[in-house]
Amino acid sequence: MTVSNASEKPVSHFRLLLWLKFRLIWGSLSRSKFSIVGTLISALILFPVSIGFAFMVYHFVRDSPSQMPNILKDILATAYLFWFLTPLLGFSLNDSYDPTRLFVYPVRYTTIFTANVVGSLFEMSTLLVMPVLIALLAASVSSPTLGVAEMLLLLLFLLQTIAMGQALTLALLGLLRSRRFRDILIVLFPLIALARYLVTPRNFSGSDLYSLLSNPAWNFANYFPPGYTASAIDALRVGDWARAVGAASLLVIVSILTVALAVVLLKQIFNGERGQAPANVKVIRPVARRRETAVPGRGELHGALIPIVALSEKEWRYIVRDPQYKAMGMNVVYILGAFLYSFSRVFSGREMLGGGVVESWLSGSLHIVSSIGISGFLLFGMMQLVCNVFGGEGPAVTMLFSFPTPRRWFIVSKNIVHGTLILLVGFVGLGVFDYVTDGLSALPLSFVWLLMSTPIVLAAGNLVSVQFPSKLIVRGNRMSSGGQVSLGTSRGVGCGYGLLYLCCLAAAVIAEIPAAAAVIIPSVGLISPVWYWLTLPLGLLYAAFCYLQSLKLIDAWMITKEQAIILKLAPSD
Amino acid sequence: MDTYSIWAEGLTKTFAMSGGRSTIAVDDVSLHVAPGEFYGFLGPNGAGKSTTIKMLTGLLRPTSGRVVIAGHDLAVDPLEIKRHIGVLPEDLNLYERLSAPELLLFAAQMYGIPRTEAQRRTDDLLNLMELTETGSKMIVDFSMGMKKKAALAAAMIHSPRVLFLDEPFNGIDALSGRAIRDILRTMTSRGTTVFFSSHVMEVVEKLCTRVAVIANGSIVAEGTLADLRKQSGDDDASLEDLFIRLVGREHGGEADKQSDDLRWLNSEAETADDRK
Repeated sequence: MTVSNASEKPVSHFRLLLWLKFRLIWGSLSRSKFSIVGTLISALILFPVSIGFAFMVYHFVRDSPSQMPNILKDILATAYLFWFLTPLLGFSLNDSYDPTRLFVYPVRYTTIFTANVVGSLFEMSTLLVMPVLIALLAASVSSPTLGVAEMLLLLLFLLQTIAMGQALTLALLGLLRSRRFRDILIVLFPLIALARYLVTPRNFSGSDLYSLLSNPAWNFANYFPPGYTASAIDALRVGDWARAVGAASLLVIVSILTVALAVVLLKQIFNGERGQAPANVKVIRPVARRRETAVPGRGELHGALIPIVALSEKEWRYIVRDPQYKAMGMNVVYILGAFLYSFSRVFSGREMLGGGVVESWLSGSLHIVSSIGISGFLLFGMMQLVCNVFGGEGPAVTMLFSFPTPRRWFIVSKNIVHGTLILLVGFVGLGVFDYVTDGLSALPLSFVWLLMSTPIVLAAGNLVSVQFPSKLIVRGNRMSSGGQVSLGTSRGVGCGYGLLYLCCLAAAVIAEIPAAAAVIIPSVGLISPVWYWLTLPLGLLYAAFCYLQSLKLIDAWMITKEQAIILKLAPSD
Repeated sequence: MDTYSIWAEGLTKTFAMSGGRSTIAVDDVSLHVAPGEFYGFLGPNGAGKSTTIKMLTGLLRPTSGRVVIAGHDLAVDPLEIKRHIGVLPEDLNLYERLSAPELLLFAAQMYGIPRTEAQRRTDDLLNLMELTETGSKMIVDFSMGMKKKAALAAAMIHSPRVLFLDEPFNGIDALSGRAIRDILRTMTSRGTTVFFSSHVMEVVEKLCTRVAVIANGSIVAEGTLADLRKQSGDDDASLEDLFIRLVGREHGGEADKQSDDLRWLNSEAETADDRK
């Protein structure tokens, strides 16, 4: 038998690869109801924001033409940094960013590279930048010829930037694939973000946009393609042809070099000369036989306590070792850092803002109300942990549910560890707040509030965990729900679950009203503080009641939900 | 049914598909396995082996049917059953951020074994599986074979009455394979029932006292190797021959048609011959 239609031309590899790229982007955006909802939410938010920002840029450049070079350079530098940092932080913009998966097919590596770069022009990240670039062009162009030239320069910049992202991904393939690197990034990225937050020049205020645009920090871009592009466009606009040609030539040279570098790297990987994960040279320390050294009696617990202790130990080890918990921990550290910074700024500017007003707001009875608000903020940073207690198990949930332990002990063990963490974080957070606001005397009351609110939040989280379990997978620095694998595709499901967790926190807040009343009512002077002796124990009892009720409900739900949780977290092929 | 270690009747699993359709993964499967048996469960890819094992171990709810393990009804007392069984799933699903000793210690304690005893068993199993040298290395950094050995050790640590093993020898080297076979034999001689799915016919032939062959979700043959040979009318047939005959029969006469349809696979060679 021969090929039925020999005259039919095969589809070109380039077209096939472009199709693959679009299919992967679309497939990951629409993989589940959650991702569709999330994608719609993010599209409804991000695109209007991008277009709104583009309008703002347009009017700003029209009103202040002198700022055009600065704003162009700053925007291009931001886009450049995004593409530069994305691979370094372990992200890929989508599945197709790893071209090595295509090496098994008889496709030239140059075709793979070209299709990848061209396909990237249509990714959401690129599309979000486009309105701003178009606005810049529309606001600054004085003639059609110049418009075409500027557009070509911007297009070349985009291609160079995307090619640079590819080259970086290829150059660091082995390192990027190593687990250790990704584990380190989980902690490193929020620290970088936090450091940036803290080192922002204190003399800059939000109203002073000009000083932001002309901040010397942006000058780094002068030595890179964003600077060349901005300089060339600015020179075209003012008729400085020599500078325009010089800057454009630099951009062309850098672009050619970048593409050449990416192609050489791709060829080397194609030929199997690089791209392997670094060999694990760590010397393994054998475990000493412990039979002789085991201390009898240490763990001689009985009944339900043995699995509870074992599961709590496991949970604790995971919290220390698993990237998803590190990511969550760093979120909380970030929130704490941001609070510390914000409040220190507020207090350093007391005179400017009218210290009396600030002080009165943060003093006395309102202090505890502020503490409650802050604890809510901190809790929101931990909702992924609280509302998805089985999520961290991943496929190992199959193993967990194969144990004969009563299911409520699973929840209780996890809650013990998570609750302890929440209390610790909350105590540190409120301690910092009380210290910064000179209100350390309110700390005991704040801690009692935490003791009351934590079981209620855990109870709400337990119910959501059983009804809406989701698999957590960490890629790059960020933890995301639903098992997504890349930055460009994680938005959807993550947004959906984010909304769910926000609703859960809102429900918990409503359930916490009686507990909050127990703390607030005596503090605002409605009744004597002596009543604390009654209201606080009642509040604690109420919190315990809420928690026990959730366990009762879970016992009933688990009978029908156990297999569904397994299917969700460890789906069969 | 109380005399059997594994007793299942009319086990069926239907999965809902998109567009309101459904597919039957396992269709009216009945199994009766006595204590101390080494029971082989064979079938081609997608035949329903893993789905059946998941239903038998309570990890997947059957659409219909009844399962009794070690005298306990799965629908009535699933936790009691889990106390008596050990499971090695095909895709392992381990806690990969624990080291092997930590995993085994954890698993033992989850079965309620006191810590000192759990530590003793952990050491013994690590030694048996040659995992002692892995020390504090996390399972995520293990090779596939090492992961499988860790999972197997975790499934055995509470000395279960029934052991469900889904493809236990995949990715395991010959030395460890031999050690595991020996320990499984010892366990069955002491009364443990091993329910064992595998693609490796030689292993099944060597170990199993009885086998069942599943294809397209239904049991197509069941019995000792001698029974299967008798049914096929070929006393010298190997298990692989019997398996191919049984499963091939299920697929009907499609093989010849497929062979015709796939003649193009030889086109390159034919073209080269023509050129000569």
